[in-house]
Amino acid sequence: MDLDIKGLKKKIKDHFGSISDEELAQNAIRAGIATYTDLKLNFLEEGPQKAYQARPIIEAGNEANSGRLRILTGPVRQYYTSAVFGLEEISGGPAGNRSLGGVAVVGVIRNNYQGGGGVIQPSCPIDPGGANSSSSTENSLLRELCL
Amino acid sequence: MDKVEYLETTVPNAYHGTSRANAENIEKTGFRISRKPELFLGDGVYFYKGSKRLAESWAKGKYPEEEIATIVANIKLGYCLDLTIPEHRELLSEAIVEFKRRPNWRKVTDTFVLNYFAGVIEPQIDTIVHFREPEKIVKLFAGSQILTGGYMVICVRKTECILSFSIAS
Repeated sequence: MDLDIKGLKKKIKDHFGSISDEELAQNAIRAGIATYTDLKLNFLEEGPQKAYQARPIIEAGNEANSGRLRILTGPVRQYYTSAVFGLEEISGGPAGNRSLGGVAVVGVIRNNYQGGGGVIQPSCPIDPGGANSSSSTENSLLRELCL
Repeated sequence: MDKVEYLETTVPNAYHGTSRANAENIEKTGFRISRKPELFLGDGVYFYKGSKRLAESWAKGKYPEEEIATIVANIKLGYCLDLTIPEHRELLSEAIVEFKRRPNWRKVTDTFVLNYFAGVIEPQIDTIVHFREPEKIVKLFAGSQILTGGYMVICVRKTECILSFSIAS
């Protein structure tokens, strides 16, 4: 079957004409493509302030991930480059691979992500300072980016 | 004029390069769709049309320490986004224009746009075909219109489009 070019052009217009940024992010996450560097480019290059402006997107992704954000570190950023909406240097730190990259990435990861190699930090609810938060540095990062 | 019948297109000589170990695993369990940000045509299994040499060369770069192998496959293009066709490229251009209208989505990449188009807007897309131009354009000879470089890449988004395959000898 050949593509219906005219029909698809209309479909594209209709799709974008009726969709909010949040819905667009949700679509991307559902389709499993919001974990890619592409989204990171939208928000990261301009730093945390830009990431803060992307708060609705973070929330959209957050909703798709059962109310959780996760902290990802170096190797994960390289290989999975999750839907990353915030980036900040974290020096040292006691936990696992944080020291490998020296970079923490706060982002939304895909629902079906299986992890691997122990490079993912524990799930971290948006609960800065709370019992479930994995470190004070991460908490402050979350506070800056998400709250 | 009579209506032209649409014939199913297949590519009988598509090559996929990988390590020998991976190739043997694929032979046993079949292909799996790759989902990585560096896949410029988006999620899928990637093949070089007709060129075993290119597939081998890619695999050597990817697995420098391992024995490499190529898999030859017969691919049904099916519902194909063919980026060698101007009208098909226009579809992507239109999607990109729409993204760029949104302040938070101006820096989309090929990977994202193709995944969004073929994963959200038109998820029926089976395959994506692209002619990858060489980085340096060199013509066959002065006055020629034929390039000495470039190759066809096929990104298969649905593994059922890989009709048959085997490790190439």
